[in-house]
Amino acid sequence: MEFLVAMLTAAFVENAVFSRALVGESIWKRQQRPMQAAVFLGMVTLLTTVLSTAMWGIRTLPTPTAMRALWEPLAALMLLWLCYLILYHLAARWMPEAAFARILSVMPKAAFSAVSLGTLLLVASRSFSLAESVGFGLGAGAGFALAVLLISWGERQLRMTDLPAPFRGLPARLIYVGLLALAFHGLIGHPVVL
Amino acid sequence: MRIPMPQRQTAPHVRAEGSAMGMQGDIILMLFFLYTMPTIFFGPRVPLCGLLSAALCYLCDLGCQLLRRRRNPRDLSGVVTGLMIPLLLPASIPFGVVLAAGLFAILVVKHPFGGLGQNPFNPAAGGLACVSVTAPDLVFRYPMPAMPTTGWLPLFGTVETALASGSAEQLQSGSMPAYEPVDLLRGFFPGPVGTTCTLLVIGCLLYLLARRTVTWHTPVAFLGTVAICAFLFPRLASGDRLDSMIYELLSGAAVFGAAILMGDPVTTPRIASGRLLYGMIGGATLMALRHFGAYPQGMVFAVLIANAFSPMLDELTARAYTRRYRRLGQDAWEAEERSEDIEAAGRTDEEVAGE
Amino acid sequence: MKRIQAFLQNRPLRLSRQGLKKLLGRSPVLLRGLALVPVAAACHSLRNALALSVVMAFVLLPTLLLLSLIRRSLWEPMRLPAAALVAFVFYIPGWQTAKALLPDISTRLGIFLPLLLVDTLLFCRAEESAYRETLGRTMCEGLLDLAGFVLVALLSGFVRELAGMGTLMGQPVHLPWTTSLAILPAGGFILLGFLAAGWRLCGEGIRRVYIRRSHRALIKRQRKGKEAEE
Repeated sequence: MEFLVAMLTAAFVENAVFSRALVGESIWKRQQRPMQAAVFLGMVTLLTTVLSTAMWGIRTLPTPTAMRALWEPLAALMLLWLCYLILYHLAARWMPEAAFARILSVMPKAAFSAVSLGTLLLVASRSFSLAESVGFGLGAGAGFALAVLLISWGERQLRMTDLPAPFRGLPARLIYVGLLALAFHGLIGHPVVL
Repeated sequence: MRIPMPQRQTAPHVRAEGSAMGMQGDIILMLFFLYTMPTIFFGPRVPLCGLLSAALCYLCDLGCQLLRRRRNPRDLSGVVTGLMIPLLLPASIPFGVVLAAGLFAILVVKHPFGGLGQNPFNPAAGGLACVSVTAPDLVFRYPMPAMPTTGWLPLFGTVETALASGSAEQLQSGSMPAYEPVDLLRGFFPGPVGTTCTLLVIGCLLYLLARRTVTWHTPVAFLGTVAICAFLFPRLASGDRLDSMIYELLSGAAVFGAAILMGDPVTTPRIASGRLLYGMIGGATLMALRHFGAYPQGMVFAVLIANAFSPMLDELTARAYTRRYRRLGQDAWEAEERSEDIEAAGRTDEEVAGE
Repeated sequence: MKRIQAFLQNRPLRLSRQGLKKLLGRSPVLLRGLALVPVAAACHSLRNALALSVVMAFVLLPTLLLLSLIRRSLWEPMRLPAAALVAFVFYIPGWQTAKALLPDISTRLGIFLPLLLVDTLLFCRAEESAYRETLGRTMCEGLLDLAGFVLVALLSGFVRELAGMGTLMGQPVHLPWTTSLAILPAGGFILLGFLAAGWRLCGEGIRRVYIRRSHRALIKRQRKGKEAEE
């Protein structure tokens, strides 16, 4: 039950994009093919889910409070680096060359994105149980995927509309994301704890 | 074999059969109609609020159009937005809050995306969401309606009368609202001024359906989903499902939202099946916000979230139709076109074959 | 170097249209959408904006310097992780400095300080300059990007703190109303959208003024030339 609650909280109430603005450059990129987008979102979800368990374990280690603010980001970065290496070698070995070449640029961006690092840091900073940590990681990845999909559909519609000249491109997209974030704020009602 | 054509709706300011009155005229008429009961209960403050809001929204709209050097003389969408905003607010709301909502609706939600017909979100819902977040203590506390002239609110200045929480807040805490369903239909209870008299709102919805300003798909799907969710997951502590269904439909802004907000032709999907899904998503989101959301009135947030799904629904339903046509083949498609031409010309197949 | 020489020799500096465009199109946040995470989510007060600017300066410039020096020994798939890990090395003194200036910065900023390590501004500047161009050019581009970031962060912090809390650096300012929308990421995104539109308008206006002036100067020169021939 607490797994489900943590997952739904991370996906909707504390959505990575709409409550914490954990966007990356890839959220705007038009050049991404569906396969690249799927690999990006899948990798983010996998990393946040799997590494949340490791971060839960790291949180339980005794660390001086003064060093926590430095030790946690370092641990998260090292974990992401390790997972990225493993996934890279697995993909290089098992995927066809053409497909691997296409996702090569996407993989590091997925591993070292704000949402991946941000979710691991959040799991480390809260007193979650193991089930809650895994649920939070999974929900964060799923919520990020939902947010990216909503924004990409909206962006496609915006590309076809006759926007005023100063608002064409990035400004209209930013306002679109802002209004979506306002809509999702109805679920939480107060600024999220950083 | 008959291939069903997707029913599409035309641009929001032009009606399909070319009659003189546009969709906007119908909606403005209904909004004026919705101001009657609040005026009886609360006095002339409510229509004055509506007029000020409509005037400000119209002037902002006009200003933005002139900045872009495009002026559409038939565009009354600013008036529609301006009249809609006070209907979802208490009668005691300060004028500044209403005007702020109107400014946000026109300058942030509507015109950065190109103005009439191009806004991805409902402007009134956006403006109301902004003031709900900014001043929740002013937006979610309502004065008790009174008999004509005795308990009318002052025309200008701040309202000093005691404010109460609405029936939506009572449902949120799990208790049965202290009003009978008959009172909820008549509107004699504290709540947003345009949503309390449910009979009036249902009448407006039926008029808009009869005039085909709004199609039946969205309101039916929306209210159906709200009713089903209320039946399956009652908020009442007693667990009575039928009571839960009745009170969830009659309290809050569900019926108003189905009639006016969700039926906005600019932000709804174009194809009928998409509209059914859109209504269902809106209903499910509203019930989720009512159960888990932070604010007692979650209608405006549900509308904004449903608006975000609209482009996806358009694309998916259009793709489904295209795939179906491809599967049936080009020949069947052409045969269908020919039979439609013959029907339109009023001739039968035999007459054409004989020629 | 050539520009400095021209200045020293008192020749009029001719700013080409491309050069002007590059100078005006400098904002990494408002025109390219980089570094949105710290600005939209965390820059809702001036103190936060100052702390983030200090840490970003420590993270961005030395990282670009080091990456520019070691780029040949970096394996391409490892460039991004290397940038993040190198940035962490310089994040430590940056964090210490920010903590010295504003002691409660960790509680105020939470996860957004360490998120500068994976900021899109750092990665994009590394990809475009540190791995391809000379050290001097990389540092210039990095400095200009940092200036652009600091400007937008401070502006966002100023506006959002005033509108959201009615204070400035913690000191109350008497305002008739405040809106908590300004403190939320939603308000941050909307404000950035309007700032980006405003930046574009200004850039477009300056460009038109410049083009009109150079057109007039060209016509004058042509007239003088014709008179001289006559």
